[in-house]
Amino acid sequence: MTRQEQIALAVAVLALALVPVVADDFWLVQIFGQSFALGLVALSLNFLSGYGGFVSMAQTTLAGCAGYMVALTSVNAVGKGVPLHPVASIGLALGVSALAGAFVGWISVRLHGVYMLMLTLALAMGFFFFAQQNVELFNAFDGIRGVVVPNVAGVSLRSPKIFFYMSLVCSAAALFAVMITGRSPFGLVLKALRDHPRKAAALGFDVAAHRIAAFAGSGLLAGCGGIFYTWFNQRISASTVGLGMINSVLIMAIIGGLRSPIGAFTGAFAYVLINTFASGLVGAERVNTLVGSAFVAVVLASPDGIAGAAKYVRSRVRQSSLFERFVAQPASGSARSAVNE
Amino acid sequence: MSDPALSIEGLGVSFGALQALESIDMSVEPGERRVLLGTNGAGKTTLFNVIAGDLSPTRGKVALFGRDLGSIPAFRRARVGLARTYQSSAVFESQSVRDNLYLAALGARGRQWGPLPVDDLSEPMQQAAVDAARVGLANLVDRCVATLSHGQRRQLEIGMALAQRPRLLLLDEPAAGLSPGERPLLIELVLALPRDITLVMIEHDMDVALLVADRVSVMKNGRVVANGSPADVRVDPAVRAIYLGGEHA
Repeated sequence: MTRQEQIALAVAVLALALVPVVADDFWLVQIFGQSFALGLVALSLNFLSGYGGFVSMAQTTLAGCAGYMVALTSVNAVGKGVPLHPVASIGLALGVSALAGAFVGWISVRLHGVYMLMLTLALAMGFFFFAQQNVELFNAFDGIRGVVVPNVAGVSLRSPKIFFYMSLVCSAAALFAVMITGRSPFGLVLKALRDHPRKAAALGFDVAAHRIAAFAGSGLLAGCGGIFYTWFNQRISASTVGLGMINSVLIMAIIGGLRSPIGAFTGAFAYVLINTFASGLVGAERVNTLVGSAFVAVVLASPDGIAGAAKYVRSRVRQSSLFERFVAQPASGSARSAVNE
Repeated sequence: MSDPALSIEGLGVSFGALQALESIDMSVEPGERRVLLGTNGAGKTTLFNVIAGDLSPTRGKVALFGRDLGSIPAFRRARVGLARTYQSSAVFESQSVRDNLYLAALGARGRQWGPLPVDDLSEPMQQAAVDAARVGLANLVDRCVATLSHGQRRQLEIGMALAQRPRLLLLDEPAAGLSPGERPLLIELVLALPRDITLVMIEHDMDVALLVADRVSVMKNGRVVANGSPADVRVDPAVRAIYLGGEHA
C-alpha cells in the first residue's frame, strides 16, 4: 500500500464521516449502510480473486453463516436459538464464518478456475437448499424474522447514525487490512500461488495451508458483512443465501473491479443505487434488465471495473499536456533531463 | 566417509504400462557438477520431478545427504536444501524481480505467514537486490517480470534458486531457448557457482555440458547407459550411437 493510497483512503473515510451532516436516515441506512454491508461481502471475493486468483461463489454463503449465527444468538421473533451477550454472539458468528471459509478452502484446495467456481457454487446451493428446508434450526423458507439488534448504553446499534458509523469504520478497517496484506509476506505468497502454484511449492511454500488460510480470512470479511446485513434487514432467510444474492455479490465485485480492493465498495454502492432507484425509473420488473445492462457496459468498456476506469482516467490526466504544463512541470522536467543524460 | 549429496537406488516410475524410469542408480558427491545427457524422452526431467517431489516414484528411493526423502512433500524438500529450475521458466509473472527473489529466500526459511507489509528497505528486501545483482539483474530489480526477456527470466530463475541457499541445485536445461549471444552469460553464471552447492544439470548442448561437468551420466529409455568423466563420455561408443544416430553397428 503506497503513501498515496493511504492518504486517499483516509480522505475518503473522512469525507464519508461527514455524510450524516447532509444525508437523511434513508440514505444513511438504506444506501450507505447497505452498501457497506454488501461491500464487505464483495471485498471477501475481491481479496480471494485479486490476490490468489480464486473465484469463489460461496462468499455469500459464508456471510450467511455469520448472519444466521448472529440471528440465532439474538432475541428474535421466531424463538429459535439461544440469545447470548452481543460480544459472544458476534464472536461466534465470525468464528463460524471463518471456519466455514476454511472448510470451503479445504474442499476446493486442488481446484482452479472454472472447476473451483462450480464446486463453490455447488456448496453454496447445498447450503441454500438446506437452509430452505430445515425447520428446526433455520426455520425453513421464512427464516429468522424480527432479529433484535443489540443496545449499547441504551442506544440501539440499528439507529441510523450509529449503524452508519459502525459499518463505515468496519469497512474502512477491512479495506485497510486487505490493502496492507497485499504487500505482506502472506499476500505476496498468495499472488505467487496465482502466478505459478507449482513453483511456489518448489520454493517451500505450503500451498494448501495458504489457500485454506486465505479462505478462512475471506470468511472473516464476509462474516462482518453478513452480520451488518442481518442487522440491516433485522432478518435472514434462505433467499439471503440464494442464487440471486450470490449473483448480485459477483456483479458488485466485477462492476467495482476485481483488481483493486476499493472496487468492492464502489461496486456495492453502484449496485445498491441501481437496485434502489431503478424501479422508480424503469419499473420494478425491469430492474434486472438495467442491472444486467450496466454489468455488460462495465465489462465491455472497462474490464477492471469502476476502480480500473478511475485509474485509467487518472493516468490519462497525468499524461495530458495541460497537466504537464500547469501541475507537474518541475517533476516531468527533471525526469526528461534525466532521460537525456 | 561422508554421505553423498544425492543418492538414488533402484528408482522406477511407471505411468500405467509406460516405464518412464526403469531402474536408476546414481550417486552424486557433495560439490560435484553432474550433467545428465540424453535424447528427448530419456527420462531426465521425470527424474528431476521425482527428486523434487512433484512425482512419487513407483519403486526405489532417493536420499539427500543421507536423508531418505521418502514421501516428503515438494514444499518441505525446499527447506532441506533442494532447489530446482524448470525447463520453461517458472517465475511469478505479475510481481517484480525483487519480490520474486524475496519470495524465494522466504520460502526456504519457512517464514511465510507475516501479515504486515514488508518495507523495500528492510534487510530481506535489500538481500533480494543483492541476489538480483548476482545474476546480472541489478538494473531491473523493480521491473515487473512480465516485461523481462526470455534470457532475463532464465537468469532470474537461477537467481531465485540461489536465493534459496540450496545444498543441491537441479538445473533443467538452463540454456534452453537462449540466443547464441545470451549463452555465454548463462554458462559463466553456472561456472561461477560456489562449490558448496552440488549441481545436477540437464543439458542438450554437448559443448556446454562438457564444459561444466565433472562427471556425466547419459540416459536412454529410462536407464543410465553411461557414466564417466567428460573425456570418457565423449569417446564412449554407446553415447556416440545415441547422439549420432548410429544403431547400425
